[in-house]
Amino acid sequence: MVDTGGTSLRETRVDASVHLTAMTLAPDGSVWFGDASGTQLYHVDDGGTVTTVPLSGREQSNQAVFGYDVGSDHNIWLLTTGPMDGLIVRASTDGQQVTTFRLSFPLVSTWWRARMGTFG
Amino acid sequence: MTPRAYPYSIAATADGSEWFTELFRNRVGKLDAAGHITEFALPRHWYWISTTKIVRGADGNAWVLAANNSNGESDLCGIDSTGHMHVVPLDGRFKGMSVAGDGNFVLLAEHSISWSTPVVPRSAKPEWTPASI
Repeated sequence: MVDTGGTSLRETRVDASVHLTAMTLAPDGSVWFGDASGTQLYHVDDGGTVTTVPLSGREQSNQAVFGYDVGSDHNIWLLTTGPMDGLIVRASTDGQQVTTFRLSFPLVSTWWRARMGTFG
Repeated sequence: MTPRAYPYSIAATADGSEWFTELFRNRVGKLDAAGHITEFALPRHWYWISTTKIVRGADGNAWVLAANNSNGESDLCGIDSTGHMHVVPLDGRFKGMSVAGDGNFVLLAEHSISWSTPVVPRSAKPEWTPASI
C-alpha cells in the first residue's frame, strides 16, 4: 500500500504576540477565536481574512478566557475565570455591546490551565 | 473507568455512543447506550495531557486530536465504532479542533487557524486494532 494518506492545511495566522486559547465555529462557516485575555475577538471568514474586534470595556482584563461560543442570539459568549471569580461575557459581533455575568465561584484550576494554554 | 483517567473531551458518534478522551491515561473510552464503558489504548506515543479534543467527524466516527506527539507535532486519530484506528499526522502543533460545515477539520494553533482538506487514511486497513483495557 502506497503511503499517500494525510491532509493538507490552509493556515491563517495572527500576530505572534497573540497566544490563542479557544475557538468556535459560527453557523455561516466563519470562525471566532481569541486569546486568554479576552480583550478582543478575532474573526476569520472562509476566505481567510482576519478581522480584529476590540471588546468595549475589557481593555484591562485579568481573566483567562478558555471558551468561546456563538449563541442562537448571534452574540459571542466567552467563558472566563479569574483567580477569585468566574465570568461569562456576552459580546455583540461588533464588540460594542459587552455584558458580564459574574459567577459566585472561581475556577482556579481552570484559570491556571488556561494560563498554561492547555485548552483547545 | 480507570481511576484518575481524567475524562476531558466528549463527542457523540453516529452509532449512538459517546466517546471521550482520558487525558492522563492516553486512552479513549466509549460509553454505549446501555451505559457500558469500554476503554481503548491509543496507538502512538503521545505526551501527557495530549488528547485534549475529540469530535464527531463527517464520517460519523470519533476523531481525536493528539496535541503533542514525539515529533513535537500533532496527529489526528480516527476511531470507528469497534475501536479500530487510523492515525493521520498533521503538519504543525494544534490545541483545538472543530468540524466545519463542509466536513473538514478546523484546527487551532498557538498563533493560527487552519482548515484541513479531506483526511485520507494512509491505508484502507486500520493501522491499529482495538486493544480494550
